[in-house]
Amino acid sequence: MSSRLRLLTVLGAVILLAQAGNVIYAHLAGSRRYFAWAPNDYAVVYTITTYLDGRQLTPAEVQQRYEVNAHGLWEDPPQRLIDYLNRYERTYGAHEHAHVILRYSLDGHREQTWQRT
Amino acid sequence: MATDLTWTGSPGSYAWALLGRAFSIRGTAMRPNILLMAKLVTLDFIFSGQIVMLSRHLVPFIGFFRHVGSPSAFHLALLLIFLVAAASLFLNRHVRVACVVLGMVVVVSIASSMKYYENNREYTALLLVLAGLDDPDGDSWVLRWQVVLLYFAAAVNKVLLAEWRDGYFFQAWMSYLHHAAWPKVAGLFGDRVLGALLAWMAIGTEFALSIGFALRRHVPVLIWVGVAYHTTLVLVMNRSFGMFWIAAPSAYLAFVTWPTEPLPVRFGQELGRLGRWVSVLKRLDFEGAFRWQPVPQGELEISVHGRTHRAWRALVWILLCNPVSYFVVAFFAALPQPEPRAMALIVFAILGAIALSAFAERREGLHGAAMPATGSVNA
Repeated sequence: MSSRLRLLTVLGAVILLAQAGNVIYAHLAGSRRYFAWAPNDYAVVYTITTYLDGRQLTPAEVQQRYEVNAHGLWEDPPQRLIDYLNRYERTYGAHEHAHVILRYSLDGHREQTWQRT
Repeated sequence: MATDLTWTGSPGSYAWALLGRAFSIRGTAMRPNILLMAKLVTLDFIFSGQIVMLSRHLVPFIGFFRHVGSPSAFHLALLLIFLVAAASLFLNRHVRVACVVLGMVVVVSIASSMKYYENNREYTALLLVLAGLDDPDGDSWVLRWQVVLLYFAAAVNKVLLAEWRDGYFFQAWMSYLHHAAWPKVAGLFGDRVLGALLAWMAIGTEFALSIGFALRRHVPVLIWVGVAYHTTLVLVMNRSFGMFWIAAPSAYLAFVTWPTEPLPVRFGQELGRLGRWVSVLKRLDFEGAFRWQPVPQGELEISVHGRTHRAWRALVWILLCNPVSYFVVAFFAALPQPEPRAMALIVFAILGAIALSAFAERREGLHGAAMPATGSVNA
């Protein structure tokens, strides 16, 4: 095997090991499971309600704002949806001071609420 | 054998030659099985419409991407780079670089949008990148362990979740997606019993696939089970789970040794309906994967890995050893359709034919010694 090919194989092995390390880290670090091979393992039924200057956005406006349906099924950990909405409002929507309410039920359990003002 | 793309003045012939090149997997800087995998994944990415979902850098994982120009221009750039790399891949030009570029486009797309990130896209990106890094003289161990890692991590995640173990997940998931049928079916069992049963079946299958692929024992059976597992999900949920339905089975090609020499196919002159199939299959043998040998009398026969398959079972093996078959199935499975489960049923019919062929041969104890083995599609 040439040294270039060996280097590329080593690079592939590093990618593999990094994933394995991340899987362990993701399980130790909390409930987000980013890049941890947990595909469609969560059934989160949710509703996003967003207020701008006291006016509630329509479902179509919510979809347009976040590119996520206002109501639906989210198949990743709910914390990821929270991260996404939170980060959107911290950056893109920073000057709009939106009031966001996320109601969700994970795997049929009692409904929970997260909100951001 | 590479298909000749010399212009002969006939657009039809040139288009046919171009198609032949796209379907060819030999004579490049990649192992044929890995190139086939990369082409199938890329084909799926394009024809399933995933390509138009490439990121517009909305809420990126890495903040840098918020400052790389307009979202539309960024999206268009990713799309064009992907298409150019795909063209290079399908024309068998700089295939390894093309694979890395294709994979990196998806990686950048994920890094630039939290919304875009999905496990199936991550898997697609990794398969393409690792295919590009794969040593053509090696045994693709990195790709093989990628498959093992996917199933092992997925099974571990499920088994660690009490909601999975106790059936809550399936209960909630199926109730949402099949709100009319699920309560009736689940009602035949006790509270969450069916949900827990399905959950443990999924966990067991994923653990079995990861351990089986790690040990490389009974690989043909594992591949069959893996394809059936993903197809069952499509059948039950009536959706393809993004890229998973094509990408996951395509990755199994890393466990296959593709024939290096043309496989001898003998066919008699009186084959009836099979004779028409032979004419079509000869035409679809773009890269000379088979050595077609007409004989005065006799059935259709093919020798693969020291074993001779006859009649309709030979037909199954000719299809299995021709990359065109995989492209046709992947193409139709990729096309957006109102009822993905219809294609899943066709895949089950194919799996049924393969299983039937294997059982029939086992029963008959067929061990071909008529012709020497010149290749293998074993693992």
